[in-house]
Amino acid sequence: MSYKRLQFLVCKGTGCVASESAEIIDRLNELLKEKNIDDVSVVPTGCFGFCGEGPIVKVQPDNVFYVKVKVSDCEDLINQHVLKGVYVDRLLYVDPVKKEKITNHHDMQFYEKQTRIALQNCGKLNPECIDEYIVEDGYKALHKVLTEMTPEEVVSEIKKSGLRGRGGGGFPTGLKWELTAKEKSDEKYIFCNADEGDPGAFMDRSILEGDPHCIVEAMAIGGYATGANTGIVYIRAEYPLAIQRLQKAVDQARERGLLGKNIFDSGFDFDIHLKLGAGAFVCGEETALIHSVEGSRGEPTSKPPFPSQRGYLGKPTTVNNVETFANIPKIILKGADWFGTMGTEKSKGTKVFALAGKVNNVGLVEVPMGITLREIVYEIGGGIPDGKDFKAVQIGGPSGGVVTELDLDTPIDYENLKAIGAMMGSGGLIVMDEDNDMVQIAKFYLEFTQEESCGKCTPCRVGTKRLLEMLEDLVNLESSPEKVAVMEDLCHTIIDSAACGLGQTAPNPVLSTLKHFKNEYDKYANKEIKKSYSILADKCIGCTRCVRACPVSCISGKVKEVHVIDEDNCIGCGACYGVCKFNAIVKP
Amino acid sequence: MRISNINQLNQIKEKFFSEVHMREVGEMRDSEIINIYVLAVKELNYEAISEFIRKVYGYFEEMKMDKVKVIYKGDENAEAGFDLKISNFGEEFVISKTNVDEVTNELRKIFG
Repeated sequence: MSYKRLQFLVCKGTGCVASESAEIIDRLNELLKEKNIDDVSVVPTGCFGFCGEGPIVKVQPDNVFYVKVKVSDCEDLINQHVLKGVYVDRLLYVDPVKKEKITNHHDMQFYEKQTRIALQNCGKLNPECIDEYIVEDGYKALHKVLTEMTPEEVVSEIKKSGLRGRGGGGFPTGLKWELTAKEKSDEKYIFCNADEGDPGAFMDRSILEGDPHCIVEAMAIGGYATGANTGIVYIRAEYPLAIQRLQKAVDQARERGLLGKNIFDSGFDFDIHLKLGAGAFVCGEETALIHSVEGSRGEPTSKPPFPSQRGYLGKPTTVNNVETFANIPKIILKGADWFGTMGTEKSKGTKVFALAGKVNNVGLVEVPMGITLREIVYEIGGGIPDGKDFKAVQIGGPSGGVVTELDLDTPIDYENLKAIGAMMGSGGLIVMDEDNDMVQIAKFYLEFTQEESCGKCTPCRVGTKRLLEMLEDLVNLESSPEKVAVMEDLCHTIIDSAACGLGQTAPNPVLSTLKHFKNEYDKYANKEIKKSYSILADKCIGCTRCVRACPVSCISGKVKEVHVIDEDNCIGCGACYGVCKFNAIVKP
Repeated sequence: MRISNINQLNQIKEKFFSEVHMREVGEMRDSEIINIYVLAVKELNYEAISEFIRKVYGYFEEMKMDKVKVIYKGDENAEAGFDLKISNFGEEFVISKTNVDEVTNELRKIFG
């Protein structure tokens, strides 16, 4: 390998690729060639996690982190950083609190409190190069289990680590493996659930795009531990880059004999196949997922029998999610005790969250269990933009609930979140500020779960539909306090009677917002809320931007004259508010 | 190539080590590594600077010291051809020399 003085690590995760990071790589290579610079290389990597600031280019070993890089910036990166040893000032990240430019990656608050285990190789390795993964001790954990450990010892190590399923349920992974391992069968399967469906969540996609070999290795370890010779990754077709990278990793592993027959001459055979899903949220539920792979409708079935007893094709099957698998090779190599040093008594290790919404630093964050939401929002996230007040954070996606200021200091783990009316879920974390309408938030999530209901059981199919209608009536000011009480009652009925996790948790956002923001529901129910936007006559200059933005043509006024909103026809969409440059629009 | 044993994994690791090691060194904190800032005068062309840094790395490779990070910082106030600011696990040194042989001699005095 030829010596390189500098390396440009360029994010080739989906977000940065959408902002032309592939073109940035091409341009950097082109310039290096043009200028005959042979001691600098360009390395495509997986996601750095700081997606709100992409495309990201990191320069090593200088540890300089450039953000929002454009193709047109490449010339300066070469001429200044490489040739003159001077950082490109305008591309440095600006700390949202201190307003200072950060030159060293270590000084970025976004990363300071993170502990990267599952995301360890993302943003560091070229995900399409198996050799780089091997440099980082890749496939050594697989070698270790196949040559030094019995399947029972592997299960025991995972049990001892305290690793729990990161897909949402938090079921102990070692126990899950043990249940399948104990079943007697001529054929067993191990599934990787990559059907990540929470709105705003992209942890699993990022791991698959940035470190696919880690999942391949972990599935093989799981296969050995449980007695499965076939692994199936159920991944949504709308993740084309993740599919491409994972398929490439599988092909490379097969080529090297790390998948296939007699791996490491141990006598163990294992191979992995990809199954593309159509993106139904309910297929994240393991029985629905298995039915979908079998070619049936993606509908859940009652448990027992559990998949570990009768799963894919009626055979014992283990289903783990991507992030859960991503922890496995590290636990095998470093030991259960090492893993146990992170986290709380009952929730060990780390958790990846997709931090989004009204927060300065948006992206993927991996934090030790036990950290508080306040630390995530204010330290890693850099607080709320524009000096606005924090209102709540929705955790756990559409099945979760809101956490308010009162509970921001609760250490995050499975039990604590449940105790405060939220849930870990797969890791969606959406921050809301004083401007967010919590009834509308509940409606947004319910629209999602209602749309995603598979329709098999009545409480979910009809219950969520009726619940959504009630919420729509409420925001249309056609409800009453009595109807809100009925709505709350319906929530409990759905929870008690729906067949699977999707239905049983669908009302959570409604109940949670009702609990913490009852006053907002009351305002709608008592029709105390003004639905329409209005215009301040002393600020409007008659620029007509709002007129052109209004989708229902309810704003009138001539050029350079004060405009007026027809309050009866205003739908409260806020399009006018978004385009007004003169602060002349007033929110309802 | 089919990988059948740990030796083959180690061979690949060794072969590609330098490619990834640079990134790991970059991630390390100042207290974990030897930091060498090469402050080069602006009259020097890039080839000279590049060659100089290559030789500095070469010296440490010879000494089998791999926790070293060499960072080039353009500095028009550099007194000699190359001013080296060395942070050796917290201990600070400055070397101002014009050519690489003199610099490696100085490095030898510090690191043996």
